[in-house]
Amino acid sequence: MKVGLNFNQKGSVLPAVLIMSAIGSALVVGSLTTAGSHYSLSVTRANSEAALLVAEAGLNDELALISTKTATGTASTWVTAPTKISGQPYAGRKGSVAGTNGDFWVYASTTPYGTTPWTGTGPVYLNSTAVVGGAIRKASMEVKIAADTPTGTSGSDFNALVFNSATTQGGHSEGPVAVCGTWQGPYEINQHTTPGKVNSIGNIGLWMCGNLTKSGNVKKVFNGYDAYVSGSISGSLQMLGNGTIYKTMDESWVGTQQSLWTSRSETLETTPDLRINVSDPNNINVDVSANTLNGNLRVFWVNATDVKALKTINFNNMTKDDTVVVNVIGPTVDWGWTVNAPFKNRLCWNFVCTDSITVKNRAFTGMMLAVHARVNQYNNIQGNMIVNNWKNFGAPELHFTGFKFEGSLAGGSSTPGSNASGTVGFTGSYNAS
Amino acid sequence: MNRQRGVSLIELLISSLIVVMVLVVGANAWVYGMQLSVAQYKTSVASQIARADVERAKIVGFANLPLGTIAGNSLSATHNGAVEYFDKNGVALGNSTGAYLSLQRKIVDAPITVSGTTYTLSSVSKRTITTTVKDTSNNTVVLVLGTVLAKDGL
Repeated sequence: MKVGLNFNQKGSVLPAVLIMSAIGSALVVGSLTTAGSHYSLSVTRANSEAALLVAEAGLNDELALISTKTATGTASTWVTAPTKISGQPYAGRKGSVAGTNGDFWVYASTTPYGTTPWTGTGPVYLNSTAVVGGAIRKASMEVKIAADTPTGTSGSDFNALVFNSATTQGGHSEGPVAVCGTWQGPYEINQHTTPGKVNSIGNIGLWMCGNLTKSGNVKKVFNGYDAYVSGSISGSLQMLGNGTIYKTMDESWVGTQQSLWTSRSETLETTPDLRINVSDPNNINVDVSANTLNGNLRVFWVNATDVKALKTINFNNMTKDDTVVVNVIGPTVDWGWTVNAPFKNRLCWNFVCTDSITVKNRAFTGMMLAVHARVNQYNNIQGNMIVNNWKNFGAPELHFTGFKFEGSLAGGSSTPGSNASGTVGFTGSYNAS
Repeated sequence: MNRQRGVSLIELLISSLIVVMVLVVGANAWVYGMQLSVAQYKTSVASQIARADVERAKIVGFANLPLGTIAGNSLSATHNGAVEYFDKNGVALGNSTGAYLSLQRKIVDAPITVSGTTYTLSSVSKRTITTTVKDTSNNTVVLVLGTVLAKDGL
């Protein structure tokens, strides 16, 4: 049988050419489509890479912006809220990287890519969405944010910073005291020459947003320092050295400090730490220099039950640049340790989840950071006391001279630069899509 | 057999015209396809070397990247890095000889704290990095990638 075209037949050339042209055209179109697809894919990949970099730029841009705000205002206002502005495709603040294509939208929330605004305490995540040439990428990172701590404006300038009520039977503090609630009972405040400072106000002996009630002897403020009391004063408040009593004051300051110190406490609790070996029945020796997890911020942890036994803890090989933090984990603390350290003013005991602390069997040495705790004080506390409630029994003292906290809780390489207004930084938790 | 007619002149002319048209269109399409393919390859290589450069900058980090020249208004400073050259495979070359692509990194710092002829960065400073890849044959920009670094950031 004869197969194929018969060129002897009429009209065979044109059909043959048409068929060959169609086949050729199909091949050309196919090649072009393939080349076009590859090119589009290449451009899309490049845009996708660019979008991820722009999304990361958004995170860093927000970080720098937060740094400009941490000196003033309440913590929740430092970050961009997860609000979608009318006309914008994504929530947050819009920005771009100069010289490149695309935009980012960045905001802060309490969870990765979440929509719950950060209130100033607890974890905070920065979230960024970037669009470059149709490619969309997202990135999120957890950050640590701590307020500015310039000399004279931080709660660490107060010997006692009590977020709520206080009840005292007597005793004295070497440094200034701030209480936001009702303070009942006698006390001698600020016997040494270290006044507190709130915002631009200095010479503060007592900062009291609440009522002073009398039970037994009156309260006294020493050394000519001033008292700021927003509430009533039952009995009298003796101002030794001609200090002045002011009734007008910033009542929100203690609340702001509460937010900031809560945030710091939680950040420290999640900072990489080493457990202290408490097996020795008498003396616990801690080699500070051996903890290299966070640079000069040396973070350790113990269980709350560990600190009950009557022991001595020695922090060895600690330098003037070190800040030692011990996270004490547990709801109830009965303090029993004597503390030896070459720089006791750079030692912080962080009771992040503790409800009750009793200081009775031994004096407490170092900064007591216990934002949720009620402190029952029978013995001396040597250092800053930052607590929720304070009750003392007898006449124990608060020591401040030589114990005022001078450490840096920012830690490691996070030390702010010359223009820094606070500490803001990446915690290490990051994801992108 | 002689009664059967062969290929007519008109049929031959039309066929020739179609063949010519197909060849012209096909040739152009082939050239265009080749250009697309070359552009795709160039974009792909450019993207890789630009991304690698930005990642290198991130590894060097906010604190260690070189400082730039302070602008007249003292509000910012700009550092233009050296031009680097790459062959068709994205391999770095020592000079422009035989180069297929060139790359240059630019760092703009703002805000800055100026002290005399030098400046320092702070936690509020941003370091904007842009990496530009050009085609050395015609000095056209193939790709620009950029990001922002902040103190203690990513």
